[in-house]
Amino acid sequence: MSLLSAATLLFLVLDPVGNVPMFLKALEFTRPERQQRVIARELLIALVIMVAALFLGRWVFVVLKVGAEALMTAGGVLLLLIAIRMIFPTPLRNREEPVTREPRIVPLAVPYTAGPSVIIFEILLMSQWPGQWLTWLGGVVLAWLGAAVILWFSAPLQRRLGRRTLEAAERLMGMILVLVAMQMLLGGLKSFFGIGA
Amino acid sequence: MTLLTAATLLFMVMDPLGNVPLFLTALRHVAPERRQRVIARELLIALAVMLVFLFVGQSLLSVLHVSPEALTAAGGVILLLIAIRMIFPAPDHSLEEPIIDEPFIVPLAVPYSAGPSLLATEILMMSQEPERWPVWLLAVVLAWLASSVILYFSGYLQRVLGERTLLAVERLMGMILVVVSMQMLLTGIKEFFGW
Repeated sequence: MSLLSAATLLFLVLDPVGNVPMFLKALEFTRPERQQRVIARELLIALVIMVAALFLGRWVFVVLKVGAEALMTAGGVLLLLIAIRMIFPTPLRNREEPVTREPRIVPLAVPYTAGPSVIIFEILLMSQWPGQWLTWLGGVVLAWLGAAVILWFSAPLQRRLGRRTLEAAERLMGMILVLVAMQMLLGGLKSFFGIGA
Repeated sequence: MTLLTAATLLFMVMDPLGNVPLFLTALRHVAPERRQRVIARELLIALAVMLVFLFVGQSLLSVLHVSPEALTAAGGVILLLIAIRMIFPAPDHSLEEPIIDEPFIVPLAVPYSAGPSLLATEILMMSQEPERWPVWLLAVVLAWLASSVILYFSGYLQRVLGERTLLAVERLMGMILVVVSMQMLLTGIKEFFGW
């Protein structure tokens, strides 16, 4: 897997477009002149957490003693579920956290940006190919950069494009994620059972 | 492959006639005066997806390391989920999103119109003779135009058929769609494993 693939995948998993409305909702109780600063701070915290999670990945793999194939299949299942939630929005989605004051780390940095899906995906990358950690680090930073730009411009994006366009973008990203999920799921099964290798 | 063959092939893969009952059932909850506008919007989105995929589809799949077989299997999964929702309708939606009943992108534009088989066909044509892209582009537009005419006027069928008939058709189409999607899923898995 190359840098570009890793960055694209991580960007899709970060789901910045789907996060735009949730970011704006969470910032309702923040004074308008502070909002951009809060977003920047939360995004930087998210980056720190993501980078830390990347290096934790190696240890999880050692401790759990699970096969690489099982991890890849699990990653596929997880991605599939995330993607399905992006394609078919349901009222049960309930990812939104209640906010009553200026958000601090929760919920903007964690779990909206550095959520469980991103962290598990990082662990997956690290445990599959630990030697390429520099590439994964680059991928994380690139994906974060892409997501950060979108989230930084949350307010103008929603105003200019409207919720429908954002929703459309999220659904199309979900479709792409389904493809990746199936590839991982089937690839994991294939190598687990040693088919056609 | 000539322009006409390619256009015909794409038209067959799009299967507009088979899509008519699917379109009708998906639009069951949309107000009659909005229906034609929704169909037109979804068809235009489908065209956009088809055109974009024609040019970037192959590189997108290779960047993400997705094989064409996985594309088929993934299409099967999405269709299966749509079919399940048709047979077992979800309980009442929350009051916050009254617009949720209006289909948007899913399922009309993708995957009914621009389905995985169509996208796979596009990739196939582009990978075999990439230098003839203007021909493929024109073929896609022609096939889309022909199917769009059929699907656009299918909206008027709703008035003739009535609400109750459509409810029955929806359940039936759900069953059929389950079978079709399983076929796609299994074919994708089989080819992926090289059996």
